[in-house]
Amino acid sequence: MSNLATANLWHRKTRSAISVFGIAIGVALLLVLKGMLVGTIDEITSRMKNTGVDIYVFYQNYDIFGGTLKMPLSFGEVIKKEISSDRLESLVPIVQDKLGEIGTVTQEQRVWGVSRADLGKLNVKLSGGRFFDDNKYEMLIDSRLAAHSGVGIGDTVRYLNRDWKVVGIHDIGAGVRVYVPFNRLHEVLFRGKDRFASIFAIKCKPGADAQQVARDIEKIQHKGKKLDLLPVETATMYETFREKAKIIDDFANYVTIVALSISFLVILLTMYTVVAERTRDIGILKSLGATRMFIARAIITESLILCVLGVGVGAGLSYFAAWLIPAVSLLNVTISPGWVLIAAVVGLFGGVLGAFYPAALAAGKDPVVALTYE
Amino acid sequence: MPILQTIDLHKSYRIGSHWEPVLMGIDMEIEEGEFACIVGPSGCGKSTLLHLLGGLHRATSGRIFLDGDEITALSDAALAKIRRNKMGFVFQRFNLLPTLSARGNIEIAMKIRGLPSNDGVVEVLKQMGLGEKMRHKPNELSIGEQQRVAIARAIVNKPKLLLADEPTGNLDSENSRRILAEFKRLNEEMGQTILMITHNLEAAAVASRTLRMKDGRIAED
Repeated sequence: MSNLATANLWHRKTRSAISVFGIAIGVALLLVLKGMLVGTIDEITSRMKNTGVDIYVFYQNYDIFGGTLKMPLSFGEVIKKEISSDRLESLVPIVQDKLGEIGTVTQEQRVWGVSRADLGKLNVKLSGGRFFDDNKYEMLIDSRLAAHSGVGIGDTVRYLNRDWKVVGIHDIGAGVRVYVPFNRLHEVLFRGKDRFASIFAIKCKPGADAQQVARDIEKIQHKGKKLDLLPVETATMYETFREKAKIIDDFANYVTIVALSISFLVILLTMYTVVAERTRDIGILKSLGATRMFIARAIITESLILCVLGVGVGAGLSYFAAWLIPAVSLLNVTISPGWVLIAAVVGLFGGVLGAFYPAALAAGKDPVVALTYE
Repeated sequence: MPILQTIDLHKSYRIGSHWEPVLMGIDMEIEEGEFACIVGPSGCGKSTLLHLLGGLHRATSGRIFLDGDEITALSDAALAKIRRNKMGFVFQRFNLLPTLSARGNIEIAMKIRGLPSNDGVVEVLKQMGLGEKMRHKPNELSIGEQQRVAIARAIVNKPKLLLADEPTGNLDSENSRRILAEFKRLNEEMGQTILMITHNLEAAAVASRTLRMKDGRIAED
């Protein structure tokens, strides 16, 4: 059976290759998009964890990928007061914003406004240049962003209608890629007397139960009113971010359906053409005594081989993309074996499903009509 | 007991709103080990008769017995089983699978029958003088060689009945002679029962018995 299938596929090499490529595109689409989602969240989570912070306190409905989040800076003092000092090691107020373009990089970057004195508390380490001056429009960028954007020490970045001078390059992996002085960013974003922060980064003292601290922060009331603080432990951050990024997850699920449909249609069209083209061969097999099942199996085996090859090529393309995309951009792609398995099942299922109708068509052909087919 | 028997076999085709009779009461018997030939002009119903005898089509009425079993009432699956276990076909247009080699074309017949694919394949190809061309695809073989592959495929399962539909119709005289000699050898040396259909009287002369068809009936035996 497999000899007949492989011989038939080999006989029409170009068409077989196109079919394999069609399925591969579907599989790669699924794996790369899902991989980009997971890779992005993985990378953000990993950078958030690398700061050594135990709890990030957000306000109300924060957005993981989002820009300006605003809560009164005085909430920080309330937290300090409510959480006993034997549990709290440090609390760093952060102003978060987004930078639309830097050098040749047009992908949005999160920017953190942090006081010079607090940079050490977030494990920000310099690999070149110096730390910024709290009173100047100065900026730190990480080495990966510097490499991709072509921006280096001494260059100026136009951001929020100000010229920010890059004075230092920091190691990748701690917090965000772009740091600016807290005061300067605050001044530009929040004009007026009131003081705000977007996030409070909390480190607990050794031995303190971070989970309990987070629970206590969530319950904090001030002047008889709940503060609506949203503490996220770094230990459970991945799951929290995944929950926040659910819309993207939903998108990935739709992509799964698209991939399934692509496999289905590619195989349906290919095998439909195959059956029409091999009508005579089907007649020959019937004259030799082949059962309907034998003929249907021959068609499905052929489609299975195409699907297996398509899934293999698609997975290969995805791993290649997972290497290429981070090399040429700031995006990360994480291809997990679990999703390769899901893509394989989707590809194979879609393919086999697509072969059923042509297989039934082939199996039901009248042998004499098939034998005289021109 | 005859290996093949038909009783009052009729076949009509629907053309538009009316039925066009093609076979009008065929009664015949073929004995085991016989080499019979059915001759007749084009359109007299020879090929239709062969298709009915081979279980490729169903009769409108009448009965066909093969090796003692009535095949007219069998299901498609049962007819397929009869074809793979008791019959071999040789067609005018050879009908080889173009994507398989000469050997592959024979092995597929073995596989369909559920037999080990290497069981006697090489021997039968050598018997047909194709030992050197086992790996060749049909388009790499001459027409005579293609027909010999088709015969090898038909006999590899040792069928009770070999049905041949104009087997020399596409061949030149040299290849026709060789194929007919092969049929004669199979019949005489191996006792193969053969029913051949042809409009070529020279080809018919090789058979031990000739039945003439005319207008959907056996006119002469």
